[in-house]
Amino acid sequence: MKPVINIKKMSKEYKMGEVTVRALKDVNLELYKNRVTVILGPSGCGKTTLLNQIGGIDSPTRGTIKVDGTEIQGMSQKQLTQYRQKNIGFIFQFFNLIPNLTASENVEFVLEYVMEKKPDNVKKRALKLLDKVGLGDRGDHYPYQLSGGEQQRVSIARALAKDPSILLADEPTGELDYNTGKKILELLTSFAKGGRAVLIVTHNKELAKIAHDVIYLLDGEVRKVESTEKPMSVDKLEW
Amino acid sequence: MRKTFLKKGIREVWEHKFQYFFLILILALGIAAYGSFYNMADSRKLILDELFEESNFMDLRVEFQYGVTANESDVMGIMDDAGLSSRLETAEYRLSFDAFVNHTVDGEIKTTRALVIGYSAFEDGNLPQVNTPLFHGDEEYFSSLGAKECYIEHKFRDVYDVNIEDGINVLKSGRDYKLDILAHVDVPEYFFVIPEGSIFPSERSLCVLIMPRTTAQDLYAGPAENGTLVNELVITLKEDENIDDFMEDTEDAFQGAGIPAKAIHKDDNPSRLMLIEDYENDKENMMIFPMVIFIVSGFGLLIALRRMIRTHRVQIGIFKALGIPNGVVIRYFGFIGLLIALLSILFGWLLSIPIDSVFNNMLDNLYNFSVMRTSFSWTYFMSAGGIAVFLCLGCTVFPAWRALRIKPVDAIQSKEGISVSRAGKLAGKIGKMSGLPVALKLTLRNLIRRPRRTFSTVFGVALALSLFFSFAVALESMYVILNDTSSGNQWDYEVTLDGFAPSSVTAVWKGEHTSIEGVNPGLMLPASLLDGEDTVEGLMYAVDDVEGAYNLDMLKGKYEDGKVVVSQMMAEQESIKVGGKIMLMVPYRMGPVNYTLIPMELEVSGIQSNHMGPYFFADLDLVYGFTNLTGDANLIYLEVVDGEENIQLENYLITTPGVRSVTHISERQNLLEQYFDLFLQIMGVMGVISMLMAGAIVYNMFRINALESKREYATMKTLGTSLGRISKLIFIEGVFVTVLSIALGTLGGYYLAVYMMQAATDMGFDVPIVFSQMGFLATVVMIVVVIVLVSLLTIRFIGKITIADVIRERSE
Repeated sequence: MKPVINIKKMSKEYKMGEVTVRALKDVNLELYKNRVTVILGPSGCGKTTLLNQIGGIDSPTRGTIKVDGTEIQGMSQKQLTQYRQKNIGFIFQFFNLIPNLTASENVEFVLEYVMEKKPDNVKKRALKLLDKVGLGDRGDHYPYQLSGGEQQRVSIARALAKDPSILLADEPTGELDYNTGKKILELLTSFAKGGRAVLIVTHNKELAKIAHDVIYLLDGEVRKVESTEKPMSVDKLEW
Repeated sequence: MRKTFLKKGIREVWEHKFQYFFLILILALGIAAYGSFYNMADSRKLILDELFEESNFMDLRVEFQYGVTANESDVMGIMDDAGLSSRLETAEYRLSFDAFVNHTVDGEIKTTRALVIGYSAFEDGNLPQVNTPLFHGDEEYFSSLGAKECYIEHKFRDVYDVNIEDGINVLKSGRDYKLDILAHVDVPEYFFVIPEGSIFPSERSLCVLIMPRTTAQDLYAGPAENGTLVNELVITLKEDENIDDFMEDTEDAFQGAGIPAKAIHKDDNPSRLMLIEDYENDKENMMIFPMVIFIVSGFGLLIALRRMIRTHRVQIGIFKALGIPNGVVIRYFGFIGLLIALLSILFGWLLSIPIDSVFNNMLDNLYNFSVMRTSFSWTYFMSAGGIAVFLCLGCTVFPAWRALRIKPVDAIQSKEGISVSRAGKLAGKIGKMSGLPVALKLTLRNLIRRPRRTFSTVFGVALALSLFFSFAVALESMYVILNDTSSGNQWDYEVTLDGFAPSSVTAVWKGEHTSIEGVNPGLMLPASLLDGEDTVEGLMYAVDDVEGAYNLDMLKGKYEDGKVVVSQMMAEQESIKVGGKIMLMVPYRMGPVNYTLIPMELEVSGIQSNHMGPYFFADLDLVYGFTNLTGDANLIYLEVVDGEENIQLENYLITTPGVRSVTHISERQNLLEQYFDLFLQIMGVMGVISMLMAGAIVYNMFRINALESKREYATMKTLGTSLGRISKLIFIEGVFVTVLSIALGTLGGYYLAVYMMQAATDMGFDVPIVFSQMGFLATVVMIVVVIVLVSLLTIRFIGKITIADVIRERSE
């Protein structure tokens, strides 16, 4: 199977005064469609930095990142924007919804304002996406009127609006309680089954059980990669 | 406060250096403008005091009216008989009159109006005791003036580059005298003589020549065979004498002897009055400019800092959660405020150096006196600095204190500005308008849901806009009044005579010069308005064909024969109404050179709008009727072929006996244009300052807005929204802010202009406030340019946001 993302010998360094901090060291990684990949590691190990490189919101110092065969490192800001626009769906730990837009409008915003061509029936499509995440009846609610889990689901609907091939989730359950977290994970795994590559970044070892591939990251280095064709189903998870 | 906090405060300022820089710039401009304006005023005061002191400036001047001269012995006799001589400290008997001088400008001979002052003191080989001329340079120029020698007024010499060694040719009534020039001097009582072409126009754009009185008399009336002539006295009184009493007694004494004399108090001397009034009015009224700038900068600072502190709510929450006492937090923000104030003071001081220099140069160019002094007082600067410190502390400590009242947990976990307030409901309604694109909804909700933020942004921009617009309105109003005044005259040449002469003399002129197409004789008489106990000085213009000479442009009523038209300024000052009656003191001729003043009641038929000054207009026959001057004129308006300047005619008139001045309409218009240019320059400087401030205020507002929405923009960028589309959002918000600001700012600017132009009214102009389309358009263009530029800077800032860092922040 051909990987949708292929990372080779990627390093990321930050200059902090005269000191150079190596956040990622020679990372090799492959992501596949229909699979959930979890990057696991303690705080400060470089998980989010890795996610940012894949998401095209940061650039590696060395190495290559190929997405569907196209290298994204070295792309201009405009090209990176287009790359994110077409390929990437982001899900954030703190949801990052636009507070002055309702749940439906947060999704509509992407359809209307992010996509290159505005699709027809924006409102209808937004509600359909919300329905998909179980919020069909909460479209007119503002983020402050929704619980954390609901906000995260809106965030997922928003990420799906562009129909991206890759979903990147940064600690998607970090701010949620156990039951809500499980619902979110169920959604994410279902999207992987729908033909997308799903990458979850977490420090929670339990979450790794739902992944096809688990990448153990420590001090910016990939220490271990474990793969399974039969990951645990979300409803059996406990943490 | 701990060192850590001090370091943090400095780092905070450094981190947001551009934002703080603009705040500092706003305040520094206010401080510099405030200090420099007051210092300029003090410099002027210093110069004036020294000038009047060194020149032994007179206490009063007695001037014979209507071209009357008298023998010195007769004048002395009148003074002795009335007991006036014993009350004098010093008196100078003078003969002064208007003449013309020939001088070379760029290789061509130019004829300019001149004022000749014949001093009796020179006859004894002394400098005059009263109104001593002031010499330029350290060298002692003075030597007794010989019969064919004179001193020349400095500025005239300077501007026309008159070579002293060449001497000067003086023309009067067909007589032509070549005089040697001994030195260039400042002439007391004509300190403010500034020739045409200078930055500041003056109707006294003439050459002043000081010479022995005998020489002056030779010029005026030919060789002195029948005693020495006098028409003016400059006097200093003994210490215990009351000037007002003496003036009254002097006028009565000369009046009684049939000599129409006017005593002029030193404070009413046109030059001194102009200099002092100019100084006092400027100090009182021109201060509006720096004060307005200072007030605007204060408001700008208040809004910006208040908003800035609001963005630190989370930080305050964390401080509190860490157990840091409130006092330390207050001191921390106080320190930031103090730092801004101190940097503003420093920057203001640096800015005041070039501004002071510009002002001093302006002073030097405007006055160019032999005595130039500059004053610098730290008091003004420190006062402005004190206000700045107070403002900055108030603007930081108060909002910080308010923020401290919030529970730490609320501050730390603060959700971005939404609430179910009325504004929220309104925003909700807008949300339901399904036809609107999401971007527009987002912008509208951002504006409505954060009413304080929107208000402070709009108010800040409107404030800057008001300032600029007020200058535009002031400029346009001034332009209109000058234009109206300029178009108020319909004559081609104005010829004034030394005294009264039969108006039939013009028949000879017409005979000699066929280019004269029309002659309109008239009288220009001093006419004091009696207002109870007070008298208000005015000038009566009585012309054979009033409407042919002036475009009266009536504000109220109409011009009618047998009645009088009053200038708007006089009407407003004295509450004169159309149909009402006024009492004027006017001259009455009792004999060939014998005059008195009589009261005359006249009905007002109209109020005209296009002239400045305290004027009355009436038909000549009416004035003939109560002055006993029938058939005479001292003012003649000429219409010439094509209305163009006619050098031959001018030369003819200049050499005609009895002709005092010859003015072509273009010279009058030039004066007005020069005056307008000066006003334009001042307004231009103010406009630039206000534009800078507008830029600084708008930049701060937009920058704070961008900072507050940084996370939103970062999220949009992460989702793949292009910078171009984010720019669209910024511009949409900019359009709303612009529209709202224009509405508010135009209103504010108009009333600010009304307030500022009050100063002009106090200075003697009656300025109608004109809401000009051009001014409005200029203001709109200015604010749109500023907003577009600032939006571009904001977009650049958003473009540089490190998305990865921002999206992980829970809140700013």
